[in-house]
Amino acid sequence: MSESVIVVENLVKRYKELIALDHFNLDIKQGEIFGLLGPNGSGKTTAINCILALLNYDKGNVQVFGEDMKPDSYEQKSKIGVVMQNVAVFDELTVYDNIDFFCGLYIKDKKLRKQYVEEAIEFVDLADYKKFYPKKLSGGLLRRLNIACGIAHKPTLIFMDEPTVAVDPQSRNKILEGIQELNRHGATIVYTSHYMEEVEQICTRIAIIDKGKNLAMGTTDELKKMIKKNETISIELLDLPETISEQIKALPHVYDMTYTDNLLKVFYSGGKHNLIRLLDFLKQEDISFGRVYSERPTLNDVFLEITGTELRD
Amino acid sequence: MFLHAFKYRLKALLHQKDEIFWNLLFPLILGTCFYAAFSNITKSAETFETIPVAVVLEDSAKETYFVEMMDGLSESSGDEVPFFATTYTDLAQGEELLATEKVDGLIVLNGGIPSLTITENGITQTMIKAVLDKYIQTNAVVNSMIPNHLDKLEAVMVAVTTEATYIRTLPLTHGNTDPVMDYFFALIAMSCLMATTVGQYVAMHIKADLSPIGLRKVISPANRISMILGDMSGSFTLSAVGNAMLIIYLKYILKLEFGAGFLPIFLVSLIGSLMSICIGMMVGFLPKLGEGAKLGINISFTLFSSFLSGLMASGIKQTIERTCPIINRINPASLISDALYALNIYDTYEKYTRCLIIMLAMSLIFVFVSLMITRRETYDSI
Repeated sequence: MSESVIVVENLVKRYKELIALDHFNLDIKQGEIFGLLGPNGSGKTTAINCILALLNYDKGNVQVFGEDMKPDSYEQKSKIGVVMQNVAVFDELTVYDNIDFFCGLYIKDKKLRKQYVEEAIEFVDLADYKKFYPKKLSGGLLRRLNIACGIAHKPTLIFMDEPTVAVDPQSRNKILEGIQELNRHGATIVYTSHYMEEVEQICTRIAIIDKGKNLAMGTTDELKKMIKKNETISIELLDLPETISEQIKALPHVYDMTYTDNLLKVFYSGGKHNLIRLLDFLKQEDISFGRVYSERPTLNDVFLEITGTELRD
Repeated sequence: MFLHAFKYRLKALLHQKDEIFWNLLFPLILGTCFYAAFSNITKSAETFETIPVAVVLEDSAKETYFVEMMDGLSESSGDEVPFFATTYTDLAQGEELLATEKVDGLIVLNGGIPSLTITENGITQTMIKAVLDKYIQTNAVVNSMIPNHLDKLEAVMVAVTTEATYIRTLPLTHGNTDPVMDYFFALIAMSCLMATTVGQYVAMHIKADLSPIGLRKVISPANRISMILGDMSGSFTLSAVGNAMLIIYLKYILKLEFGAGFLPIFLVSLIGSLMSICIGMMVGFLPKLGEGAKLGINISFTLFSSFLSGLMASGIKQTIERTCPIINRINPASLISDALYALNIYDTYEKYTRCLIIMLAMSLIFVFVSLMITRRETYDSI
């Protein structure tokens, strides 16, 4: 088992009457891409700010690299990189100067810093924009600059707080590939997002957060196994007689079924070859059908089943 | 870290067009406007214009001395303009010239005694009268000497025509006492106070709850004090350059007489800028206020402080000095302009030094308050 990089125990953070973190727990291992998934306002950013010792909290413990995290934990801070939700760069400095400035807060050696800055520029693919001022960059390029400023000093623990918000698909893919590359180079990454597809795509483990609580934690498959739904099969049908409907409900592993607007949806809790079995049954009953879809459960389904609300709400 | 922060603060400021304008260009523009406006006032006060007079001689043969005097006063010598522009005429035409304001006075000589007719009272009329009084006085002395002491006439003439002054004017200062200089002192004070806005950004870029850049800095292991000092020094350098440009422009290009050399004036501006940056920082650190609100406070403070020091209206500072002098002792713009005034007027450095010490003490107080506000390194909310 890898060493724990971040351990959060029973963290409680209140904003007056509002409980932002409610006995929040976390254990992030070295080398993970750990996803904090939750809707806006669920407490993801507050959790990160508490871990970074930026925010006071009411109760609980936070350990980073095996030691308590405090505002003056400079040794730990030197190994941490943060890519914040808000772009934090100087509008008056060029791309190169911005990265050099923020890298300089960590790396004093000028020669080494120059090398790191060049590598960061190459990493985010901004070599053609070195002398550009941030105002001249598109939203996607600006986000990439924001990432470069956060990771240029080669941290071993990187917090990425919604780094793909308001980013075009091309830049988003570039950012996600970059995160995986950083991880391959040994960095532990804490990734927060409300985009479940992204989290599912890159995270090795995920914590689902809502209203300051850690509702579930595990790999994507582990989370999906926590819920009843295993597969959803959708079939276009012109008509569905009541008797057939009852027979479908009685098929193995089917726990629910809906038929609206000529679309039949059959929900399975498990089993293999469900699609073939269902299609065979329809042929056997001489029911003609149109398009057919089979969907695995998403993290949104996990979230929906755990909280009763959509993740996108 | 200090040099790193200094370098990039200065670099960032040099690309902030609004800061460049307000700190470097605006004081120069305002200085030029002041110079253009006030130099015209001075010129109009100092330029003497020849006084047109009409002279009517009843018997020109008898009025030789008077004519000689008037002709002498109507001639120009060197660069000086003539005192009178004399028109010899008859009474009717002279009255018409006076009525149509082509002359300022009508002098009629009857029996050697000049009489003056004017249509209004003013400086020029008083000057004409003074000349005539002097003539009558001299003429009376000469006439009384001729019958009995003709031999002493020459000595008497020398005596009466020689201006004897028994009061000697001793200047209290070697400085420039032109009250217009107060405006330029207040202008330098305002230029220093413009640094409050750059000071504000020093504060906003060091606190995690005030800006994303501040947050990035706080989560780094960099030394906070070095970062603050580096940022302050970068801002201070910009302000110092702006003040140096302004002082050089006023002193060496517009050739205004400040009564002191460049260095002591520049020292006032340096300490004034330091104080202003500290004020701006303190405002920048204020919690629960947005960037715009803080900028508004700093700009309003700069303008109000400058107003109280007499930038917009002459005499304000003097009125405050009479009614509530403590305001002048603590108003930053008044302290700066007072130091410059003291440098210009007084031969000693007592008041100048006192102003500088008060400014330094105020800077320390502002820095102390700022550090008290910012010493907390964790926040309740971000």
